[in-house]
Amino acid sequence: MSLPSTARFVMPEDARWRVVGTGVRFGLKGSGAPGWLRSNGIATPAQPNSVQRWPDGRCLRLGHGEFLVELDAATTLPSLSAAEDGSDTWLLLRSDHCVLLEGDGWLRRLPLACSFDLQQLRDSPDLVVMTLFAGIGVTLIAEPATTTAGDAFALRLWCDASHATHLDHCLQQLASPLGDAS
Amino acid sequence: MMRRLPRPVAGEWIDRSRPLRMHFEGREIEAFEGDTLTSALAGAGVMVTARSFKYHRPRGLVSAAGHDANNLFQVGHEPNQRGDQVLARDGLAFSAVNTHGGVAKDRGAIMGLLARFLPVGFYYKAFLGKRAFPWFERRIRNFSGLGTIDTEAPGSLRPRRHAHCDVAVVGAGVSGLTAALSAVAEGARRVVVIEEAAQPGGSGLWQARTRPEDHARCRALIAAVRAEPSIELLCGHSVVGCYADHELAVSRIDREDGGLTLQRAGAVVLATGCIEQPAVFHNNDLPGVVVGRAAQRLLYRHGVAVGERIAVLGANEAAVALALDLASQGLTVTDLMVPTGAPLDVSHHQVRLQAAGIRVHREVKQLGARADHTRALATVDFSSQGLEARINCDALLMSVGFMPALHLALQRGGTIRFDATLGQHVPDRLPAGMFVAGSANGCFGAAERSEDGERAGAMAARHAREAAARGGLAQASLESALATAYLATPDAGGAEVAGRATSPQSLAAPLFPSPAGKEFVDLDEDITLADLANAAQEGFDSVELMKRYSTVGMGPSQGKLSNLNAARQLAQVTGKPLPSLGLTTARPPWQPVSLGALAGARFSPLRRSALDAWHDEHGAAWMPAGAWRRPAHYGVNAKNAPAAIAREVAAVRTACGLIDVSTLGKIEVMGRDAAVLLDRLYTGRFAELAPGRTRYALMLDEAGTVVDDGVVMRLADGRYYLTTTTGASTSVYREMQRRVAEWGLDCVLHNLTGHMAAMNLAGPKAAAVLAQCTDLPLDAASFPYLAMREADVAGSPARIARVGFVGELGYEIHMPFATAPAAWEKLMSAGEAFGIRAFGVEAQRVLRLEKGHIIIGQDTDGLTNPFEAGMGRLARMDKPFFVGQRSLQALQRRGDRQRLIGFHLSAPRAPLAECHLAIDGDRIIGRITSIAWSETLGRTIGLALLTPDMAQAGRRVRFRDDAGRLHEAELVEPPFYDPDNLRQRMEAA
Repeated sequence: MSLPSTARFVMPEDARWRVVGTGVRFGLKGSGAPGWLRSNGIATPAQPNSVQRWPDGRCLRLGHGEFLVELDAATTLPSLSAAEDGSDTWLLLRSDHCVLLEGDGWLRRLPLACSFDLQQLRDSPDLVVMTLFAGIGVTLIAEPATTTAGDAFALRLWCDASHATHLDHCLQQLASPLGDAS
Repeated sequence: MMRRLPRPVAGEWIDRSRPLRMHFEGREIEAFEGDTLTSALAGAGVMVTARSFKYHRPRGLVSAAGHDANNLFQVGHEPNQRGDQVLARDGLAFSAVNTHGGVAKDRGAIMGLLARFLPVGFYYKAFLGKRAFPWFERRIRNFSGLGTIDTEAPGSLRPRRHAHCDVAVVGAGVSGLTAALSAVAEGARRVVVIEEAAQPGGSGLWQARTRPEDHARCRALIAAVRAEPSIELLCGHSVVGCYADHELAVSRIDREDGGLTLQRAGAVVLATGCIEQPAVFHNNDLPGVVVGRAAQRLLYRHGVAVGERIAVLGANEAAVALALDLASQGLTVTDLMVPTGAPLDVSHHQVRLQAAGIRVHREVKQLGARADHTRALATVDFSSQGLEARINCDALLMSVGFMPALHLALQRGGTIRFDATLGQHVPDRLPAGMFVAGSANGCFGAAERSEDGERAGAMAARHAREAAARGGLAQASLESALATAYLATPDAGGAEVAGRATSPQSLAAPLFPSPAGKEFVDLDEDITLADLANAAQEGFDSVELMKRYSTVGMGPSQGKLSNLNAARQLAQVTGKPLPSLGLTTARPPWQPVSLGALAGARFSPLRRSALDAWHDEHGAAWMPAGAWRRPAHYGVNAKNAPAAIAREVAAVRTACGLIDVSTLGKIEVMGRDAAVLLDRLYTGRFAELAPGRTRYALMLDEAGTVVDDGVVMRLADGRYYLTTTTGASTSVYREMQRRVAEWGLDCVLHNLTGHMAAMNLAGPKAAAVLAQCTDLPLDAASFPYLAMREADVAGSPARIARVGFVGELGYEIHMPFATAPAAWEKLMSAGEAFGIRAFGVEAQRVLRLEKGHIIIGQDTDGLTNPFEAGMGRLARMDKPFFVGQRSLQALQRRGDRQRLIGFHLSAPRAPLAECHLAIDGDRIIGRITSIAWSETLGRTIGLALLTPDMAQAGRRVRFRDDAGRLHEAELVEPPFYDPDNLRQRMEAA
């Protein structure tokens, strides 16, 4: 099937998306990771699969000892070696592709490509979901309305950077009239 | 003849203000919006709408509910669309399937004359003979098959949606609607009601004049459901399968291009009702012979009268209600025939029947139908109380009993039992979280159905809530508690289902054998009572065996109208009681569903490297590489790809080349036990690898088969970075995760495959180019062969390894995804003065082949061990352990079964390719694994896996091409190029 070309594609008002960059993004693994984050002033979620947000960043706890941290402003971080001082804490490169999905239209479009129940993200706003979307692994969190254009529904989605084009094509497909014909 | 009533029937689903025109086999059909294809044909008086599968007998509608497979149509390029469900659209053209020349003059009707030569089990008997098989196969293939697949049709993309709810209710009749409202009242926030028909209400909307209070109650129910925001009503959808965790496959059936919804529910209520079963008698397949409910569907939904003179074969209270209902709407119902043994005391209704002008015939035994010149029903002959009689009628309604539609429960392992009181099957044990309501549960009265639905809906909501509270999946204790409470039988010490009917609703055996035959049990497959009797007599005397031998129930309708009667016939032939025979296994799909709907949207998650845009801008000819796309070579428009590849090879051999190797798997291994993990997973030693050094790594599986390779770099104590092959990056990472857990290692893994880009700078000028972009000392002492360093390259932090896959001085440079494009550009700019050229996979393959470096999976297969691949030296058998080591010990004792060896062709060029066989006399001695023309060497070279006795350097072998020609080659030990490895070890200039 041919996808709608970018030139002809008009993003619907109720299903918008944009790529979002970040000042600093890094991963952290190891049993010492929570302590290391706290000692560097980064609040951590208490439970795995949950997110801690603050005005200019977020910390996703992906497992007991695994974190994804985003600081929207560029910040000087402690060096890698500082995290590798034998305390079983490993700073990791994260080159994820990140997009912000905004608009209630996604509630009826995303289920065409994802089996996860989005209602759970509405019921539990701090939930972190790692699932398959359009055949690729993604991480999802609900985005607070305060950070979006007033839409009732917004999602932040991360995927492998090598899937960025595929994700873009799929979002276009879902945002097209075909995606709305479900 | 069927016809559209001139005046609307109150509540009908069609919109008479919106007429449509369609074409059925060239004939214009007038219809209205809201019609199905079936009702449109009926309204237009088309009686013969189909031809039967085997004998091509004229057929018409039977159930008007998709329970039969008569009205299957070709709609455009979509075959086998169910006319009972697909809605009419203006301009639609459709035709019958399985005809030769159209439904009116089907030449295939000649098969009817050959019926005596086509006994039950014909296929098996015909195929037994080896000589006869091809002859029959060709003819059967040519003659049979439903519908036409249009291979030129454009691909269509059907939506496949995922949906979630607390409670899913299947069926929107009285019990289903009540269940939905009850579930909401019990706290369910999301309830979905799925209904096959175009609108809700089911049979609750019938009997508008004879039971107006029930009719009004049903309308009120519909209004309440529509007004309830927590309830989603999905009409025109069919649940075709029920799977684990209450996942329902819901197919949209009111359009020929309908999609699929995967509906996951916390609990399911099956309010699927009953399927009215036909009677079996001589010519019971004539157009005009329909099940009773079909007449009510046509009337109340589409304003169509089933006939001008209607007779009813009735065995239960529903039959009387049917006759009176139709009469109350002004249709002419002339006769009610009550078979012997019917659970119906017609005397209670005598007055009303008489008032409606309906004659009653009791003790009906013999029964047969006849057609007139239109090939549709004209008369019914029968015996009543010992007297022969004939009725002139154009519609015969069969109302002799029911079968509960419990197939979805059975698909999930539920069981049913035969209820002697009710005279039909009822649910016995249900899967956790599945509840049955209404007539499927044996509750037939309107009030009873409503009460049963209310109870089932409430229990479903409670189940969903409690299961969610327990973590999403129902607990076994919850399952048993609820299921037992609801379905407990007297045998199990519980109470019977309240509201279940206390008298039989079905005739025990609505079978009327006739000396004239043609009593069809299965309309899909043209199977008669005699066929089933013969099958049983031939030894296929269980329901499952009989099904497979006779194909009863194996047609598109999956036995909805035939399985029960087939079992009844088997019971009569074998003398066994019906309950002891059971029924055949229910499997998805419950209703036919198109492959397009199952396929849904196609997502092909192609991975692109960070340098993808550069490659595209520079004319990359793309090729797939695992989940990625990679440049095969540059110059996509080049007319001579081999020349383009040769230029790229030459650049690497004489100057410098740069290739994107980002697709390699990239994994970081950290922690105290990192070396332990690698030493156990790979054949080499990595604990002793010094920081800043690299080592080739070979991975085996437990059988000692080579499964992957790569390069391990030691970054620091307790920290390694390694590469895998492109195709195995995910599986190797998973295997590592599994092993870390299994062996309890203190080890952290990070898959960097998508986070890092990688490029290989190779050629005699590689160091000179790299020196332009880094401050890293590149001299041999500072950065020797097989060393690795971390430094900035072209402005990006990078990990650089001096390795030589292509056999030249080379640097494999790994860096973050985001910074790689700029770095690549800088390297290319820096290399301009040195004649740098980007090279693709094809050139890389030639280069590595010249060096004799193997590609795992191409030069090895699923059985190749390291000894056979010439890599035995890499298996450190003196290590305490590595995966595959014990198998290698055994393989060493056994000896090689094949051996990888190089060859070059005697002739300059030959049409040989990978997998072409090596032939010695009449013996296959192996195959080519790699072959390429080497411009550098001026000859065709390759690798081959050969039997050990033949794989001797200096021996000459012959390879056979596609045309069968043999080409001589001389075997040589690789490498073909730079055998002393001087070039890749060369001092950086």
